[in-house]
Amino acid sequence: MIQKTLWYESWERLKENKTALICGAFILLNLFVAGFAEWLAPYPFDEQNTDLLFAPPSFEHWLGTDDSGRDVFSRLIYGTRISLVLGILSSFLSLILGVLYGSLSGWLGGRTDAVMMRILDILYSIPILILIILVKLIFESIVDVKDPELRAFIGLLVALSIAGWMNLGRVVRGQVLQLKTTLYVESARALGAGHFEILSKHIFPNMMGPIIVLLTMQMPINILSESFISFLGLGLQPPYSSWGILANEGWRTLSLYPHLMIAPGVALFLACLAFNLLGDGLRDALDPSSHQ
Amino acid sequence: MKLFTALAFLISSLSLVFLSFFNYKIPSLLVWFTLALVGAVFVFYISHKNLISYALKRFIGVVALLFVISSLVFVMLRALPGGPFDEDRALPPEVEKNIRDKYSLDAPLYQQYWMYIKKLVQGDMGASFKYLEQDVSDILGDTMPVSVQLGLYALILSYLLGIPLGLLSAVKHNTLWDRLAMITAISGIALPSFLVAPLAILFFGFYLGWFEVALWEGPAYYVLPVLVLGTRPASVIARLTRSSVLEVLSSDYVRTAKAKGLHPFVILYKHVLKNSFLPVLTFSGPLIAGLLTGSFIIEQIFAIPGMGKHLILSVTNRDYPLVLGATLVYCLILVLANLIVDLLYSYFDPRIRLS
Amino acid sequence: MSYTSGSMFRVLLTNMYYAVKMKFLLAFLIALVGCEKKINPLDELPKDKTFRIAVLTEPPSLDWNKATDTTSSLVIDNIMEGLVSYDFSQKGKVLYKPALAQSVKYKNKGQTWVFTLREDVYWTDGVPFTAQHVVDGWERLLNPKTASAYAYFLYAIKNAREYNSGDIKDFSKVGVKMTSNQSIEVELTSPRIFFPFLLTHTSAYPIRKDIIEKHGVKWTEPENIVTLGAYTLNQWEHDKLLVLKKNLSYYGDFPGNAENVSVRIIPEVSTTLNLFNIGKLDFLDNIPSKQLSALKKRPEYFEFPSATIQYYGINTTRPPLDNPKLRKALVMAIDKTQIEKVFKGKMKASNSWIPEGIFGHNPNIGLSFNPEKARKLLDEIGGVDSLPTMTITFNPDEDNKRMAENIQAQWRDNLSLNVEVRNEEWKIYLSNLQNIRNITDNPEQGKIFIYRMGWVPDYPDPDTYMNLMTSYSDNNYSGWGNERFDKLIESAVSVDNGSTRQELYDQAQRILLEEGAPVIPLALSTQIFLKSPRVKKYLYNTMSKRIFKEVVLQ
Repeated sequence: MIQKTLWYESWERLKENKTALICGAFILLNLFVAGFAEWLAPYPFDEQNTDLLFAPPSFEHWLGTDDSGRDVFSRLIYGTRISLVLGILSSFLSLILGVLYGSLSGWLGGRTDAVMMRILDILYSIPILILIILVKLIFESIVDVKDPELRAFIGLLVALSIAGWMNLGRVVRGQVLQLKTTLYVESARALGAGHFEILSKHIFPNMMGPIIVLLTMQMPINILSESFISFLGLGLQPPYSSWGILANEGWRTLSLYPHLMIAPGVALFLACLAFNLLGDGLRDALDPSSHQ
Repeated sequence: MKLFTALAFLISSLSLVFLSFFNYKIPSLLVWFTLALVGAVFVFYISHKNLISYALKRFIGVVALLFVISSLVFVMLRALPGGPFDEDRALPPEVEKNIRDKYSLDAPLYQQYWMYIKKLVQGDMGASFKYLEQDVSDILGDTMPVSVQLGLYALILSYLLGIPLGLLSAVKHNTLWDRLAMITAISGIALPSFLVAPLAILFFGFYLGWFEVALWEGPAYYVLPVLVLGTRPASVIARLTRSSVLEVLSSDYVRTAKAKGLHPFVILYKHVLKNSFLPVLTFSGPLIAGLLTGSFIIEQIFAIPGMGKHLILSVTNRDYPLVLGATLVYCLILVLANLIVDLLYSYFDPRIRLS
Repeated sequence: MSYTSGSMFRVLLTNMYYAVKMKFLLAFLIALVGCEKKINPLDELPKDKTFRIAVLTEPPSLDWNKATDTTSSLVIDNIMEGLVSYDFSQKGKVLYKPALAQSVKYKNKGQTWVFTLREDVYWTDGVPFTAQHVVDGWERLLNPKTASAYAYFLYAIKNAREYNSGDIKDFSKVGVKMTSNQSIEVELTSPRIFFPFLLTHTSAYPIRKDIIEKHGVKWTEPENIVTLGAYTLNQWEHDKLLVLKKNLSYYGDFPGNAENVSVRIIPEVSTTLNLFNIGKLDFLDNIPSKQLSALKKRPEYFEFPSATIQYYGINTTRPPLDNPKLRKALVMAIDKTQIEKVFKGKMKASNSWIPEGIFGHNPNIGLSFNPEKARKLLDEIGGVDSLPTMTITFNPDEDNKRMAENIQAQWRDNLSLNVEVRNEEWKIYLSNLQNIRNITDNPEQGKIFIYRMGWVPDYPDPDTYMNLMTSYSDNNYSGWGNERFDKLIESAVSVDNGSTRQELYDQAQRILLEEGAPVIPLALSTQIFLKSPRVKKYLYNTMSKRIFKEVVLQ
């Protein structure tokens, strides 16, 4: 009962925060676009029209066409799908890893905790881009998937997840350490509850707030990371599109064909902005004592 | 006394920055003097506060960390398919054997690892596989100063921009100023630098013609890359500052101080700033390491001869010694930065003991 | 401050501190006064005599025995010379002309070669050039300890391969003989009419063993290096720029007036374009292909054909591609004018394997576009539906991608055949290519059906192209081999009668392209330049050599 009212209160607080609501709605809209890309896009993402290269925005092609005569608007819509799926899925994977690792470390405590945190420190000390590239290339070469784009996608997903989980792990551990000493956990323990029971009934529900906020904040980071990897030429390859791929195809020709960079750039910017602002709003709503 | 040393250090390091900014050759005497001064202060501080065991522990930790990192990266690198000497022209088996012999690539992996570690302990990071006449230490030695210079300016910029912005929005909490400052800050986080850089080049470089569009040859060349590189950390720092200042402002002792009728400026300066600097400090360790070892994207777009590109391209070139060397240097800088952060931590918050 | 006994230590420290502080200030002042403004090397160079270009990477090695890449050879070719050099004076073909050698003669149909060297050549340190330097260079190139990747360039010389593999330890057994201080006699394993062309390559240039021994690996640094070409290496700021200056003791003629050349290292092509636009570079040879159509309209734009061929290789060990009928159908279903259209002049269609501008080229050989015949061939082997999904594999690159997508579309339109395109990171791609040969016993595991490659000629002779497809070639990833073809190639290298040689290569090309079809020649890449108006004269050539001494600036 108490849990429910807490969530309800948070929801009430969130409803008052107009910015966060708008951002949430914008993200939902993006998800909708990603989900129904086939219906929304006026052209297939890889249809080439060699007579219409680098066309500026027009009535047929709302955002113009690219270097192979593909419709930028359609590619943007399909790109939303890949970017969002990658960003959200990899954040969830990081979360699962982080929660498992962090709660184990925090709950066991003592020497195990110290060792596990040392391991995190070590992973932290590898330059993040080297880690991402290495993990991606290694994973791509060992995973046994026929479809090359799917393989690249999985490699990217794993790399982004591995790059993102360390921070989550550390925060979760801190939370567990804190909650471990609270009265209700101690009393539950005194009543003879098992490890699993305490973790799942008392600790996880109380961690949900910060975890949701962290998760929301991790998504834009991963979306941006994908675009950096595209910059290095190691991401997914055209004709597949993501915001990162599109932006990379565009920035080199900014002065000649600005429409190629502006559209994906704005999409990338707005989505990251929305995720960040929503995360802020969620934090305010879930933890009224914080002031972010 | 402490203040004097701090001041001396500050002045000398700032003058280094200043000199490098106006394209002066920094006399090595000055560099060594600064380094010696910093070292002396550390030694004095440690011996003065009986922190010898702490320093020792820390040192052993660093050595162990470097060892583990180099092993880990070594293993990961060798798990990658493709070798350093594969090129688009296939080589006859005889030639290939000569090359593999020369670089001992056919030896069992543990033996290669052992050889690498043995050399590393002697301070030799080996010769690059890609740049045949250069040692890894040559390459990093040539490129790192540029990255450090760029990173240092960006670092200074991000503190100079971020902290006031955060303060402003915290003090004017829930006003238009606050909103504006925070929207600016979040925008800085939400924009990837490879989109900001071409826009900045086009607008400030070509359209307005104020700054140079690329290269690294003097103050006019520094402006754009430093600006683009500094935006992101400045935004993060602004947000961190804002939230911690808000927290401190609502704490008991600030309320007491307010009740005592102290001037708001005094409160801000005496109580708030020092205490709210801690989260920014925590963020500074990785930030310093990240900025000083170069940003691939900025260096690429502005044609800056820094070490950022070696961090990335060495992997795609399979230049094993260079990847390891660059990683170790990054790691070392990170450790040093964290050490400084920890020392500053104990300065800002005396409750935290170094142990 | 009160001097109580208990605070003696502190007083001592304080005094020391002040002393240190004073010293520090003093040292600081001295340092400040003593520091000077860093001089930008380019500010010193007179602008009207400096040719400013950019390269994409730091030259990996300026040791000409070891360098393998185009950036390094761009620099080396201008500071060093070989026994002979290219002669581009005749249209349509490339010949060689004497350089360090004043005469080149051959005996035994081209199995024995005699080079007589010039006597008026001096290295930049004043030492006269002798035959010993040439022999030293070849010995070092072939020495297994050098581990030079291009040692195989001299495998044509008798026993050179054995020396390189370590089977022979004594270099005097290798077919290189110094008959006098100024002449060298070379004996080859078999006659090779194009042998002098091999000596135009940087790896076969003479060296100064004493300099290398004196300075170790650092001998290529500007303060150590000793050269004899038209320019000297004046500065090399790693990862930033190189400066070449006119060699005042250069023996040859120096027709141009570019006394200095600055070579900036700028890894990003769009940045080089920016710098060209603001007048900081005089010449660009790497153009982002996305900007091509816009740049074409500019007066600075120039293009020139090259002899670099882009092709698709077919993994003939993997069913169904082991069937030549299918391979021929694939070739005939490609309309190469489409490629020209897509690449807007960056590619020039080629049906033949030996490209235009090289001896042996025959435009009438090769399968041309014929969709009906292609469909008929496909029907003969059971139609499209009997085929598995095949892939075109390439390494990530804008142009490779565009090419693959275009071919994919053409096969879909002309054959109703759907293939997939896929790219693999460069090094992974290479290791997969090399694996084609290793897994012939289990073709299902081969990852590659159709692969992309380009061939930059090592020397302007048909042999460099044709040898590539022999069954024993290390670069032939297709798994295809044909005894008759191999024999023709082997016999053609010793024929010095033009029309007989042409006939042999025609036969061989027919076997390669019209019978076996393990490769699909697609197009020749065009060299594309932006040249600032202040460059009055710049001589282009098909071998993509950049010769600075001929540049005339305004």
